[in-house]
Amino acid sequence: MSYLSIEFGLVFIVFFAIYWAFRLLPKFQNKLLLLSSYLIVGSYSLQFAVILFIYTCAIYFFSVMIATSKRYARCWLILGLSAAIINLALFKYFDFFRYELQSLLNYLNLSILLPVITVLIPIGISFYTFHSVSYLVSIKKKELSVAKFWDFALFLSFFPSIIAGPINRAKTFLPQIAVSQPRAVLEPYRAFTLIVLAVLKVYCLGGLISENWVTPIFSNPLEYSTLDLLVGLYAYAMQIYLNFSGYTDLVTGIALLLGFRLPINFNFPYLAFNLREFWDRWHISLSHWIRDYIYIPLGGSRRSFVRTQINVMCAMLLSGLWHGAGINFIIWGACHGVGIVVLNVLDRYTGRGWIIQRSPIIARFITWHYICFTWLFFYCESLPDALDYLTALSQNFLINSHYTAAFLSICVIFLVYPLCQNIPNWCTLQLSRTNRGFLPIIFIFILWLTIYFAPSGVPNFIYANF
Amino acid sequence: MKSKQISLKNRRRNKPKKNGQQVNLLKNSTQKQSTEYKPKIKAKVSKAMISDDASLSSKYIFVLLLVTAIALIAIYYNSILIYCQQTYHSDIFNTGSLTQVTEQKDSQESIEITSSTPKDATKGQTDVNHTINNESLLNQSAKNSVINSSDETDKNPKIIRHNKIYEQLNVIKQKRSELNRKAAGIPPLPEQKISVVKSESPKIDHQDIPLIHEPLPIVVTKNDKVFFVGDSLMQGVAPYVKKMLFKQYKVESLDLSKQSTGLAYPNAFNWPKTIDDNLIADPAIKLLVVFWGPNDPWDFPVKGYAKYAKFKSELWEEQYRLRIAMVLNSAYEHDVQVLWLAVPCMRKRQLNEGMIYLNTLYQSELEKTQQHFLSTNQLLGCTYEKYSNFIESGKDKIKVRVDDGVHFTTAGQKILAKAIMEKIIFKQLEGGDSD
Repeated sequence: MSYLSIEFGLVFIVFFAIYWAFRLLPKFQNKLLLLSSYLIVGSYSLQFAVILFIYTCAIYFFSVMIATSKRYARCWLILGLSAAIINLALFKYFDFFRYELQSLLNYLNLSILLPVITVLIPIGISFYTFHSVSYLVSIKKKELSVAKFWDFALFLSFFPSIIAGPINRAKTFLPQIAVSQPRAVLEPYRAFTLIVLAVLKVYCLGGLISENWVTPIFSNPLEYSTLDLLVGLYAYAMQIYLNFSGYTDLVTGIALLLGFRLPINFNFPYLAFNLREFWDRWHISLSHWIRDYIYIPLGGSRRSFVRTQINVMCAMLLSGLWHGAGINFIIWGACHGVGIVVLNVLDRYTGRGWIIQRSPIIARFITWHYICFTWLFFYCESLPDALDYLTALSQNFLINSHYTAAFLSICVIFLVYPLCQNIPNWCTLQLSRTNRGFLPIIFIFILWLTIYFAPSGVPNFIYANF
Repeated sequence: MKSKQISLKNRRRNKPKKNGQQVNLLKNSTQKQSTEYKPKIKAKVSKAMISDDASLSSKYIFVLLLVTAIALIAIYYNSILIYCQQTYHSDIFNTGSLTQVTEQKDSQESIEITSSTPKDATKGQTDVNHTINNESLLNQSAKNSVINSSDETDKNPKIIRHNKIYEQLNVIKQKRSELNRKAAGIPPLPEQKISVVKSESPKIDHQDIPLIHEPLPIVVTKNDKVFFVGDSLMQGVAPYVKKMLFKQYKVESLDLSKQSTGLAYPNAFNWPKTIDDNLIADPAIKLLVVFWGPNDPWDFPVKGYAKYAKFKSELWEEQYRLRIAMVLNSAYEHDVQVLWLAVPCMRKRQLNEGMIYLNTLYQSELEKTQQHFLSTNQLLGCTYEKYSNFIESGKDKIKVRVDDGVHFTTAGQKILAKAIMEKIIFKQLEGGDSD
C-alpha cells in the first residue's frame, strides 16, 4: 500500500482518530502502531510479515545474550551482526552472486550446484537490518538497556520508516516508544507543511519531470543531442531528489502527527560545495549510519592518509551495494568513493576548500555535475546502457536539440535554488500564523492544484525498491 | 540565510511567553535537539516555530484531515472512480454483483445508448461507436457469420452492408500486399510463422476465420518511424528496441507505453484514441509494436449496462475484440503494419489463464487483418503449463523474469527486444542516403 495512495490516506485518518482516542494509554498506542505496521508489511506479502517477526525474535535473542553475558558479549554481538548480514545477503544478494559463486565452484572442481531459487526481497529489509544493527551495537556499548520485546518489535517495524527509511537509531527512537507519559502531536504545522510538500514533490514535480524529461531521453539517448542528454541527467537528479526527499517529508510528517520524531534525511543536497558536503546533506541517516558503523570501525581517518582513502572507498562501495544487488550500484558507489578520495587528495595539496574560497558557485557547479554524472549509473541497469549515454553525450553535438527550453529552465532553477532553502520553514511559519478556520481551505486549494497538474497514477517510491 | 536565522531567533527572544505550557514545550524541544542529531539550520529555525504550534489538538487535526480528504474526494470524484475501476476492477459505489446482463446482448442497439458516464468514458465510447460503423464490428459479425451466416445477414441489413465492405477491404488488402511484396522484392514468408503462433496458445478451442493471407514482412526504411504502445512490460522492452533500431538502422521511434494500462479501462487511458491521434499526427510511423495483457483480465464497465461485464463473458469478449479491432483499424487506415507481442506465461495461475484467453483474442483479430503476432513463451523459456523465471542457455540458467512473476529482468527484456528486431527487415532507400 503506497503511502501516497487514496486508500492509505483514508485508512490513516481513521487510524489517527483511534490512535489519539487512546492518548492516555501510550502502551496501547504502541500496540496499535505495531499491529498497523505488521498489517502494512503483510499487505505486500504475508511472508514478509512472518520473516520480519522471526527476524525480530532472533535479534532480540542476541540482544538479551549480549546484555546478560559478561564474558562473551562481544561474541554474541558478532553472532548477532552476522545473523543480520547473512539474512540481508541471502534475501537481497544471493541471486546476484549466484552466478559468480557457481563459476568459482566450477573452477575449483567442486560438484556443488547452487539452487536456483526465486526469493522475493522482503519489503524494508535493508532498513530494518540497519535499525537492528544500531540496536545491537547500542546494547553492547551499554547506551541502552534491553528493550521490552514489543517495544523492540515496534522499533523495527514502525510503519512510517520501515519501507524506505529514514534509518532510525535505537538510542534515540526506542526512548520515544517506551514513554509512559501521554504523547502529543509534535509540531503539527511542520507536519502539515511536510505532507503538502511531499505531495507536491512526488506527485506533481517529480512525476512531471519523470514523464516529460527523464523517460523519453533515457529511453534512447542516441537520438538526442548533447544538450538534451544534459537535460536528461539534470532531470533525473531532480526527480530522484524530489521522489526520495518527498517520501521522507511524508513519513516524517506522518510520524510527527503520531507523536514521533524521525531523523532528518535531506538538507538541500544540491547546494553542496563538494562531495563530502553532499553526503552530509543527502540521505543523512544512511551516510551517518555508514560513518558510524562501517567507516569509523574500519579506522576512519585515525590512521595513515592512504588507509583513510581505502576506508572511504570501502564505505562508499558498501553504500552502493546496499542500494541494490547490481553492478550499476557498485559503480555508483565507486564513483562517489573516487570523488571523495580525489577531493581529499586535493585538500591535502592545495588546502581545504581551495575552490570554495575562490568561487563558491563554481564549486557548486562542479559538484552538481559530478553528482548528475554518478546518477547515470544509478539509473542505467547495465554498464553498456550507461556507456551508450556517455557516448551520445560526447558525440551528439550536431543533432538538433528538443529540450532547449528545459535546459534554460534548469539553469534558472540552479541559480535561484539557494533562495528556496527557507521555503519549508517559511511555509510552516505562515501556516502557524494563519487563522485555523482557513487551514482546510488552504490545504484543499494547494492539494487540488497539485493533483490537477500532476500526471495520472500513483508514482513509485524509488527507494522502496532498496 | 544567516540574517533570517538571527531575525527568527530575535523574534523568539522578544516575544512574550504566552503560558507555561509553551515554555515547557520549548524546553523539551531544546533537550531533544541536544540528544537527536539533526542539521543545525533547520533545528534552530524550527525551535522558533514550536511556540506557535503548541495548542493544536489531535481532535482539530482529525477534523482538518477529514474535511480536506472529503473535499478532495468530492473534487476528484470521477478520477477516483476511474482509479477504483482500474485497481479493484469494480465500481465501489455500485454494490451490485459483477454479472453480465446477458439479456441485453443485442450489441448494435446497446452500444449506441448514451448514459451518464464520466467525460473521458464518453469519449472512449464515441470511438467505440465509430469503429462499429466501420470495420471492427464487422470482424465480430464476420465471426458470427461463420457460425450462422445466412440467418444473421438476412435479419440485419446493416451487417450485410458491413460484410460487403469487409470483403472489399480484404480485396484491397490483397492488392496492397501484392504491390508491396513486388515493391520490396521480398519472397512470401514461409509457413513456419503460423505454427509458431499456434504453439503459443496450446489450449485454444476458439474457432476463428482461417487465415487467408500471411502477414506481409515488416519492412522499414530510414525515413519510417516505429511506434511502441503497451504497459509496464513494454516499458521495459521498448527502450532496448529503440536503441537497437537507432544504432543499427538510424530508425527513429516513439514509445508511449504506460504502466497499468491496457484495453480494459479506456476511461483511465484510452489507447485506441491515443494510437489513432499519434498515427494522424505522425505519418512517418510505419510500424506499431503492441504489448498488452496483464492489466486487462478483469471485469469492466460497458456503456449501456448497469453492471460490469464479467471477464470472459460474451459481452466482455465482444467489447474487447472491438477495442483490439479499433487499434488494428487505425493502423490499417494509416497504412501501418502491426507487430503484436503475445503475453507470456505468468506465475499466478489465475493471471496466467487470463493471458491464455487474451492471446486467443489478439491472435484471431490479428489473423483477420493479417498482421504479425509474436510468440514470447519460447523466447522466455516457459510454457503456459509451467512457469519459469529462468531460461536455460547452455550450462547456465539466465534469469529472465523478476520475482513478481510478471515483469522481465534486463536479460529478458533484451531477449524480447532482439526477437522484435529479428521480425523487422530494414530496406535501404534508393539514392544511398541510408546506412
